[in-house]
Amino acid sequence: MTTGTIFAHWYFHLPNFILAALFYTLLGRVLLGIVVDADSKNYIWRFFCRVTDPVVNAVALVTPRAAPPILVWLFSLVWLFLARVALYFALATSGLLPVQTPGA
Amino acid sequence: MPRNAYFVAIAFFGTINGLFNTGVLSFVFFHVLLLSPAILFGSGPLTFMFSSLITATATIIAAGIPAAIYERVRGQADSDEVSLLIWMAGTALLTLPAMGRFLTIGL
Repeated sequence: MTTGTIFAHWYFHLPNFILAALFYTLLGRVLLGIVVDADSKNYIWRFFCRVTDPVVNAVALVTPRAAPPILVWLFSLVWLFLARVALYFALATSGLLPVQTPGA
Repeated sequence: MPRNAYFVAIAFFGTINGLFNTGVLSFVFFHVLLLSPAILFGSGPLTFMFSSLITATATIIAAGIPAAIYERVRGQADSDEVSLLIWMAGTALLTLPAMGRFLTIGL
């Protein structure tokens, strides 16, 4: 992964970090969902749900209703990954991507 | 046609695209290596399989968008035969570039 100074290239690092954090939180929700009930009061589960619900709700809008909830979560994971790819690709093609400089 | 038959067909087309669409697969593989190098402990074969899974799923979710729009416009509470047919047809269309290679090589 090429990196530049984080503050100089915040427009790449910040959205990339947020998307990655959402991706891994949703992955946690999927894994925890195997052993925890959907209406569980577990604080970790509630945190995962609260953070990832906006993404899941947005993905549910463009997913046929035949898809069960866990499939919508998995689809959301792919959407988030594709969003990261799109961000990287957009910045790379516009020349705004942080460039790795060779070490001294 | 039973609902399960649609789901099997959708999964089949998605799988074929995930395995045989080398253009999309190599693009996704490159980006998985770039953006999530640690997700599968840096293992090349595992990352390739993950890329294949992402490609297959992306095919299915992209094909599902027209079906979902159809359902929302019709105000349906559940998928019917038409929306499942749209979903399956969309997946089949997206799989066309991989079909030649699939028919040549086979599973």
